[in-house]
Amino acid sequence: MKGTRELFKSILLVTLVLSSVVLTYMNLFNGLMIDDNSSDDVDSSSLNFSQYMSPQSFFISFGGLSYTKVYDLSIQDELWTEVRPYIENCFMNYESVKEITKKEYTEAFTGKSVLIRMPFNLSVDEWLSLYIDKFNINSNLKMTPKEYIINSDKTRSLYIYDASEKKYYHLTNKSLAYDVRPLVLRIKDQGNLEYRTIYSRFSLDSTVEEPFDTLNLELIPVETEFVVPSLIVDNEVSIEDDKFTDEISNISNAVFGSRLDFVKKLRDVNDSIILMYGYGDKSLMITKEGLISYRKKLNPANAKKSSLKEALSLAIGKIENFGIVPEGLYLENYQYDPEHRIHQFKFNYKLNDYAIAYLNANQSPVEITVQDNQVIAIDKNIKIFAGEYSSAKYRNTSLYAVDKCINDNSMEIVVYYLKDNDVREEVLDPTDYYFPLRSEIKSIELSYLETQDNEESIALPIWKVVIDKRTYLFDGYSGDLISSYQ
Amino acid sequence: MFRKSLSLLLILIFILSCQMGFASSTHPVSADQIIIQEPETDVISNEKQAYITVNIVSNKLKDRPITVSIVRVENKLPFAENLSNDLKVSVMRLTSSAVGSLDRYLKYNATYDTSEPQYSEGYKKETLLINRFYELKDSISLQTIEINTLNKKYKFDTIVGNTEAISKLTTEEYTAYKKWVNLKNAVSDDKKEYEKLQIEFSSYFEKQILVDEITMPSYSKVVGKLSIGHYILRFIDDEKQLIKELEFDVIDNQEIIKRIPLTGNK
Repeated sequence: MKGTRELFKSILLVTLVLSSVVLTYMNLFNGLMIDDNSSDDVDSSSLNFSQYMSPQSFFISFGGLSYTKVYDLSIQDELWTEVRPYIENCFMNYESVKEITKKEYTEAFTGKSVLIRMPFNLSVDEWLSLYIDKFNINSNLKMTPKEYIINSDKTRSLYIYDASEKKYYHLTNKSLAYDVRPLVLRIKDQGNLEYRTIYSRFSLDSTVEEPFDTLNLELIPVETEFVVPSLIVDNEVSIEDDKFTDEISNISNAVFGSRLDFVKKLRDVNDSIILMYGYGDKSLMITKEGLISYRKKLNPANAKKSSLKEALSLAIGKIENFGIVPEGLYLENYQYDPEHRIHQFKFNYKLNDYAIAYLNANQSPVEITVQDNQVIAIDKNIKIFAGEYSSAKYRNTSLYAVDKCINDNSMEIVVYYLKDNDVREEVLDPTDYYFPLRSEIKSIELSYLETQDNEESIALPIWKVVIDKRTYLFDGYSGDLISSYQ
Repeated sequence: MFRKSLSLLLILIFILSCQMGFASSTHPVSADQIIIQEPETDVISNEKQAYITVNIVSNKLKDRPITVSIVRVENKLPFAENLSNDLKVSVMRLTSSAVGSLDRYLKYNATYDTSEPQYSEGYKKETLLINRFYELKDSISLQTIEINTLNKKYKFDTIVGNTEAISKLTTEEYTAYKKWVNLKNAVSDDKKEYEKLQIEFSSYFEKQILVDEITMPSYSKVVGKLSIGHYILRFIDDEKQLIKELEFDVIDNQEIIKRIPLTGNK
């Protein structure tokens, strides 16, 4: 009897040991399966560069003093699709390159011509490496073009402004001629707002002297009777329980795969929701303000140095599979840290044809960090259009003219201007600096700024004006100075 | 010698002081401080929007703003039909071209009122002015012909002030000479009155298109499409005195196209 009991105990013990071995194995195997299935370790990529790497300022000269600026996204696309091949052809098949003066460059933007400005700085070789496979990166064009001018009278010419070196060039094409005239006439037929160059609007050749910019090519609207509505906007993912699961599913599926067994959901003290895989190998944080932050630990096994093209295609591939791709998404800024092999891409997008502005520098709606051929971070905070907004304060009347914004706030602007240039001078009358300040206008753009009104998130049209080294944001309806930064 | 030098010096001082007096204008800004950027030319198409862009290199505008105005100069007198029955001139003659060119000094010393013109009841005052204007115009014209005829015959202009030559004139010639001098004096007096009336009469043909105040160093305005005609862009100071003006014509777009040289494309 005693022997039978001992035997039973032994069998039970063996069974327990065996079952623990089997279960451990199964568990381990399952874990490996999850890792194998996690396609995210190998990021998807996209070569759709042209769509995201487009100029964001299109200036059109109709001849005489008449100019316009194109904001319409479809016309911008059309322009870029037509002009880009010619620019690339000029890089590869140039006959001559000559450094020219700013005066010659300014003269190229008269008659019927087009000026396009890139939002980021990329050298010619970096640019070509993106579009041409196995390109022997040695074009001998050691320049970083920021602006291009194509003039209808010079069909084999391309004028380039290198902002980093502050140099101007004239390239001639060996084989291809391109006439921009039909494009200019097409835009003219569509009816546009009338603009003037800053140098003609403020007669800079007579009102200021060197070293001020008497040839300032930036455009300023002369017509002010146009309406830009303020918009009601929503976050892409709401942290409210009833909406969260639905709205996050697109992103969480792309990040964690369809199996969420090992994903923990936490709620932070500031109401943010954090989804975390493993011990923080991957995480998603969604804040009340709409920011979606993705972080992934660098996997040393897959680490390899990536070229700009590889890194950019990973970044674009990732953003195309990371929730909603907003309208008019474009690369706004690019930086490379060679020490840590980190490529950082900043993207902006459009709401109702206008880009998004922030209250401080270096902030963008979408930021993607690529290190060693892996996307290690995404910060995305985009807003979804939810209707036009109207209230007594933000009534949808004509915009406040940009020159009035500058006039109304002239005292503050002059004080900042002198401070930024270390000039200790008491400002008694801002009109003493009237024309010098205008000659220092570097850019004028209509943008949208997210703000709150009666607990509602709205996008307010603003004038984003860069004067000298400082950016000023003016309320598009009242002309009040909202903020400024360097 | 000394007397001659002294008188020369005095004349020089007089000329200099005259010039300084003329230069030290009381305008808050001088004409050369006003840079008219647009209109760019003195001819504008009737199919294009007209813009005014002006830059003023002065910091006195805040305290003493200036007025910008555009007037359309009508070819025919707008109220010709309403003038009183006392009108002694043919209505056909009442055209802006009959006004003639204005004296520069008088033009820049006249008063420019940009408010709506107030005419007298039944246009009685205006009728009198017009009568007198044409009376003087005709009289000056007749007297000038007579002066020219006499001068052609006797060449009086070569002996003016030459007492010796005058004393040698025959009685007939001397009578003619006296008449010639009297006519010249009469024309001179008539002209003075005529020029004053000319300024006022020319204003009857003007219609205000735009009046605005400039308080900042830069001014820009969309005027819109203008109908075919002759226009004057004026800058007037706070004492209603003219500082600067630009005359331009709005012409048919087809005419503009004809004027573009074949090789040009701007």
